[in-house]
Amino acid sequence: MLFQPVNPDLPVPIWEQIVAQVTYAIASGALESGELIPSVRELAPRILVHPNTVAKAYQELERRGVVVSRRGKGMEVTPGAPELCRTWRRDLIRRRVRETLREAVASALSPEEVRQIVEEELDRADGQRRLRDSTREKR
Amino acid sequence: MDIATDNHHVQPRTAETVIEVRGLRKRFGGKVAVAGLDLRVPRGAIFAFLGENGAGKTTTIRMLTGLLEPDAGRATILGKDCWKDAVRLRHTIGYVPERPRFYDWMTVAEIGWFTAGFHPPSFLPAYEHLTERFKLDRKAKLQTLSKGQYAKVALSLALAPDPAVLILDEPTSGLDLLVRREFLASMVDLAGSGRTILISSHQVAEIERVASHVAFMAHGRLVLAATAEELQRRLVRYQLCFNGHAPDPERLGTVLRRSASGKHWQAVVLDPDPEAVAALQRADGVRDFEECPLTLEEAYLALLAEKGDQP
Repeated sequence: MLFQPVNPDLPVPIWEQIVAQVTYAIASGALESGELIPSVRELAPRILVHPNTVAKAYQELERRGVVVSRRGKGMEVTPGAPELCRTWRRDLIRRRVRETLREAVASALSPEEVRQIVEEELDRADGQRRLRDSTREKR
Repeated sequence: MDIATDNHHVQPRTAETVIEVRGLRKRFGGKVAVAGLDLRVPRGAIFAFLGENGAGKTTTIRMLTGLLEPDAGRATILGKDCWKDAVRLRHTIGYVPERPRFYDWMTVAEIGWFTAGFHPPSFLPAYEHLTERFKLDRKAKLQTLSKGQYAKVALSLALAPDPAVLILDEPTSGLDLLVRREFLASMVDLAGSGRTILISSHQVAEIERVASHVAFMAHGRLVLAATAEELQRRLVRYQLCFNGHAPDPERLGTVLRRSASGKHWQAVVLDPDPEAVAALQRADGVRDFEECPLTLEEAYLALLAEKGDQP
């Protein structure tokens, strides 16, 4: 799977960013049940974070039942993972959107204005994703 | 790869102490460079040693590498005294100084052969492997190398004896972004295989992601040392809006910074008291209460700007 660079400036801890990336990859089908995720030693230098941080993210994924440690092989995506990850993805995004919308409403923007911003930004994000996907395919 | 053995190296809490410093002092004439320093660096750590120029980082490192005798106190690496056992420790410690200087008329290959004379036979193949990985031209004379290539030679020489401990003094200052990334990736890889790394730096942002431990030094003293995770709990920024009287941050803990403009209020607090925080959050007239951990750069500024203001 393609790991995006993590960003230490975000208020979200780096290990949680790794958890989120694996969760999204499984939810979108980019990582399937039975596949192995990269080992701690392999991933840490690739995304430039301390191995302990990657290990912490993997422990959390294991605790959630998304991956399971297979002795001698590595960390394997569980059969129940796609369902779990789709639920989490929805909940996580819903929480983020809720926070932002709360701030928008508190700032006294009208609901129509907020709705318009949401529509525009959604179109923009989707456009960017399509562009990224198409350049990736060309490579 | 076996995940069980893979995780074996990643045990920060119970890990043995590899570098231990107690009451270390050094003065040069009338100037105190290190004024009673205590440090513990566990195995597998990437220990970021942060502070302004002149804080005493380099003097500490020179005592750790056996190049300077402490006036008082003791530094040990893997149980051996850094000064008395300095020669024996040389094979155990890789060291990259801030401005490495070699015989510049030698080529990349020649400096490897030359240095190999001081080390076991495994040194040379390891050095050649490293210089190849760093894409260094073995026939190039050192004086013709760029700053980044020169630093890669220094790192290759330091890593070739396969040291248990790597000490780097400002390793990435003045290097290109790509070289710095390569350096950091090597650090992460080494830590993953159980090597212990101490990096002094004032380039905070790029150290943040790779460090497992952080120590802040000012005026020869340790200001704060913590794991990267503890630091997020121990240094917190609170922000809120208030009506009426501005809240008093002093009861929250050690206040490093505070500012207020209009109804908006914020404070950076070291070791916040959870009860006082909860009380503030519930206080009359307080709304939009938020707490967020600091980035390493913000932590650096909060801790060292405050200390730096003192004489």
